[in-house]
Amino acid sequence: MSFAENPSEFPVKIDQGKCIADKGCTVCVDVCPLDVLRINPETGKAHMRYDECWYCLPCQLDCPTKAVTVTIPYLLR
Amino acid sequence: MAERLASADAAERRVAVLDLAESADQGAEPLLVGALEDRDAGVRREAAKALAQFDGRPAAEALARTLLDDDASVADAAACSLTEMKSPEAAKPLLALVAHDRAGVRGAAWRGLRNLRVEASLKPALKALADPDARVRREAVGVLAYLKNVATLTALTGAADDENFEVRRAAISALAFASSGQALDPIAKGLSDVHWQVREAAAILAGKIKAAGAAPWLVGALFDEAWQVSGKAALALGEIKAREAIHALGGLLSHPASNLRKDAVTALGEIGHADALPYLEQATMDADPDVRKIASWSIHRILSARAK
Amino acid sequence: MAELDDAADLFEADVLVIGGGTAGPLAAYKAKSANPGLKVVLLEKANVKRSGAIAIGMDGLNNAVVPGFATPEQYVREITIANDGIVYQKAVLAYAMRSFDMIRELDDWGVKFQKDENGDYDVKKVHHLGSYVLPMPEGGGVKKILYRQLRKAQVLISNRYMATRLLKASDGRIAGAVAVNSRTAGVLVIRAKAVILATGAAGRLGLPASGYLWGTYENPTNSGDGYAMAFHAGAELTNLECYQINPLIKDYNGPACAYVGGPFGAYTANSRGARFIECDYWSGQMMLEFRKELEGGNGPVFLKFDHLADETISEVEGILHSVERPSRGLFHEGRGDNYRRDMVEMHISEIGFCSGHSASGVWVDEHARTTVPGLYAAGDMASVPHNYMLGAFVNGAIAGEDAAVAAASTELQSYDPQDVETERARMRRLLDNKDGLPANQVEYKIRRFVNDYLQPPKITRKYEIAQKRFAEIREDLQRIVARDPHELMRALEVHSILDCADMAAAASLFRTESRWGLYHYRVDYPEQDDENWFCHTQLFKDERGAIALKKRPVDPYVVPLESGEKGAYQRLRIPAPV
Ligand SMILES: Cc1cc2nc3c(=O)[nH]c(=O)nc-3n(C[C@H](O)[C@H](O)[C@H](O)COP(=O)(O)OP(=O)(O)OC[C@H]3O[C@@H](n4cnc5c(N)ncnc54)[C@H](O)[C@@H]3O)c2cc1C
Ligand code: SF4
Ligand code: SF4
Repeated sequence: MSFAENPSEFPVKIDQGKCIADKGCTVCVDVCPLDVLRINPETGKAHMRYDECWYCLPCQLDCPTKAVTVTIPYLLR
Repeated sequence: MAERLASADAAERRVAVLDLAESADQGAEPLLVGALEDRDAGVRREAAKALAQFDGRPAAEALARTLLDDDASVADAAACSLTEMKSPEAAKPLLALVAHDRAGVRGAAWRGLRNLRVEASLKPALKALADPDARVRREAVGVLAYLKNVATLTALTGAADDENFEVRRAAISALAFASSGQALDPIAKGLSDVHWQVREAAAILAGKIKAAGAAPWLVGALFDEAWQVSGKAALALGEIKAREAIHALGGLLSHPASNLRKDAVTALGEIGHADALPYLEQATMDADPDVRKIASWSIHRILSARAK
Repeated sequence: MAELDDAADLFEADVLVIGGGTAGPLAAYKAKSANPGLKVVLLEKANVKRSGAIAIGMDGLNNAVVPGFATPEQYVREITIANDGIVYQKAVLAYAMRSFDMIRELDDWGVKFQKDENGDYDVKKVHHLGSYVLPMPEGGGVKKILYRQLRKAQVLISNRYMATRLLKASDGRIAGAVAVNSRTAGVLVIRAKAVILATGAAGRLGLPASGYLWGTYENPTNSGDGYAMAFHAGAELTNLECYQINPLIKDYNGPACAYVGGPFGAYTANSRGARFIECDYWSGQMMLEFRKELEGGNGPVFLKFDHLADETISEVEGILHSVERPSRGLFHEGRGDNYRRDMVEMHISEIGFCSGHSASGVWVDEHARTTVPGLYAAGDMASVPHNYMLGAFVNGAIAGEDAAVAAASTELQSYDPQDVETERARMRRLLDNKDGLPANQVEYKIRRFVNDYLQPPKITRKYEIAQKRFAEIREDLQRIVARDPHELMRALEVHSILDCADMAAAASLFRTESRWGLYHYRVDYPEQDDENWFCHTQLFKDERGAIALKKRPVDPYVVPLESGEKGAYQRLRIPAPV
């Protein structure tokens, strides 16, 4: 399928320095109700894969290293 | 698992603790207790959080020890987990800490003890009402309040005179298990406190225990500078069905704060006496729909009671 | 490109619970504790640890029936009146009778309810008649606590599985369900003796005013799959025209929480800072008043805190910014809004299905049984009105216990393998499409039409246009492209959303009167017509597979309303003085 590459500002940012996904942590990926976070196989760190966020915060609150920052999606801000 | 917990990498140990926490397995408890001794504060904090799910002596002892952790965030996590304990067995290690040198530790121990409601807390808690640290005194009031033992009434009444306003407020609120006569003195004092939240607590207490004897002070409190206090005083007068307050309450119906008019009209309805009818009629024309609604509902109740 | 896992896994269970949000965990837990020998499976689209409406906790119970503050009978009367009399009272009473025991059980598990200084429940009076609000300022950990109980009880949890269709035996009994994994696209067929649906509200029906698909009031994983599954399985759905519409913080689209602010003295005000709402409950009547003010000269509408003391506001903030929708604080901060100074602008939510504030959903009786033998429903998708969180817990428990008994005395039913095949073909097609439509565009279009045509006030002609548009979009469903398992889940959700939109339109057109305030305000039939419409409307699938409707009379009340009681309640709504 042909698909356009549209720019998007992801509401979820993950501090690559703090994230310990490479040590086996998957907490944020596990708890996200919308299932939009993944571990990036290239970096071994978590990242936002789909821009579908309910700004509900389990990812941020449950992250053991406080690596996750959620912002309110631009359209509602 | 033991291997992962012994990894040289702190992050790996932390992930292992998270997995243990998740397992909901009894076998996890000793391992988590062990992790409280980890050299990395992040690992200790995660273990302290996880132990909240194991109610009982071993977890409580380990967490109580952790209250002394050098890292404040670890000690806080332990204090928080201790408040989740329900089993009376958790009391012993906590009681051992209520005289600790550090006020933070004493306070956390009391906070953990409140929910347990063990009689053994009673005497030391009474003593702790004289603790030099206000936060500790406040927690001690909480412990006594949960015990609801009439033997503590005098002490709690004393605490209602504490120099710290949070302690006074807590002590006054704690007296809701007293009989209406026993609490008159603290109600009177509370209503003239310098801090509005203490005066508010005293008015609430009067309503809760239906302290009819407090009516004159409550009428005075209707003119408090804080409308929040006046509102609670009005509601209390409604609870004790103080007919003598009808005209004063009626006077409040022109107050600019609609929340206060609402409390006043509610009280008039509760008193339920025909003398209130003219005021209630007036209130059916109020600008605020809640006030109008309560007024006409009250009129309906008074008239139908009279018809019966 | 993802492949559909062709060797469909087959799993056999005694009780299958679909949806692990609020009602689901209780259903599974109670089924398992009632009979530990049973194999109980809890299937969840997300992860039970943090899923559903209460993912991040709740800040209070809206409908706690606590002795000393209210009686079950009083509660039933008030709910009856709040729903204009159209309720199945037995189910409401069944909830009210167990409400307090449930609070105590949750308390034992570690859920934190507000207590006064002496440790007694601190119930607040928010409504005029009874007191039902029990705050939970520290209610953040509810899901973790439930999860722990489920693990202890050894309930089998399957996360990241989306149920898509129910399976039935030839005699009409429930036989199980088909589900697909949102990470692998693996298909799972679960055979079960009893199935409990607890998939929550239909929250992605209307489009939020922000235009952001995921900025819904409800948890967006609640896309209405349960309503669609129940419909396709032949269950009756009731009163779907009684929509959910809520007063929310504008743009943020989360609850402004009058229930939290109320006991502290905050209230909903117009632009002059004055209270205007006559009605007490979150009800259609209240929403009608809300809408009038919003659009009138005194609009818009705000939540007002600025008259409260600084200490009080800090306390309210502490609650509102830490539980339920904790990102509320971030939102206000971003706009530089402060409760001490600024009133919070409010708005009306998009429409949805939910029994939280309206008496709609999959029809259930007092045992949580639907009209399909062996199929249960609980929580926001089931028809017990004004249930909220505690109702979801209690009715989940009722469903679980009844299902455990049913499962012990039934055999696994056989289903038609063709049904599974059809379901797999529906999924395969989406994954196989190389060219076509992205799910989010199809979804956006459906939901925009829902706003354009279905949002009340309801106009017959508009509804007919909507039906035509929906029929056109139905053709497009096949053309959605799913490039991976996640997109497959989204595409299947769009199918449910369209089913719900069709049901909403049909149910609304059927009831030719106005009722429940704004929820069912039909401009062409502005009056309430008790003579013809004092009844439930039941929606179901007819032999041709189309939507059909019929009336169901209201059952005799078990808690009769005293004469004049309804009038007395009406008296609470007095018109403003001229
Ligand atoms: C923002 C907000 C605030 C609220 N505030 C309060 C309050 O203060 N007090 C109160 O009492 N009530 C409140 N409520 C209402 C209360 O939270 C709900 O009534 C209750 O949680 C509903 O429970 P449920 O089990 O029906 O749905 P949910 O808890 O939403 O659970 C449904 C679950 O089903 C899953 N699911 C959906 N589709 C599928 C599928 N196809 N397959 C598998 N799983 C699926 C979902 O992922 C979800 O986990 C609030 C609701 C919201 C949204
Ligand atoms: S929870 Fe935090 S540490 Fe763990 S994977 Fe996510 S971002 Fe990384
Ligand atoms: S805020 Fe919620 S929806 Fe958004 S990524 Fe985090 S957990 Fe997922």
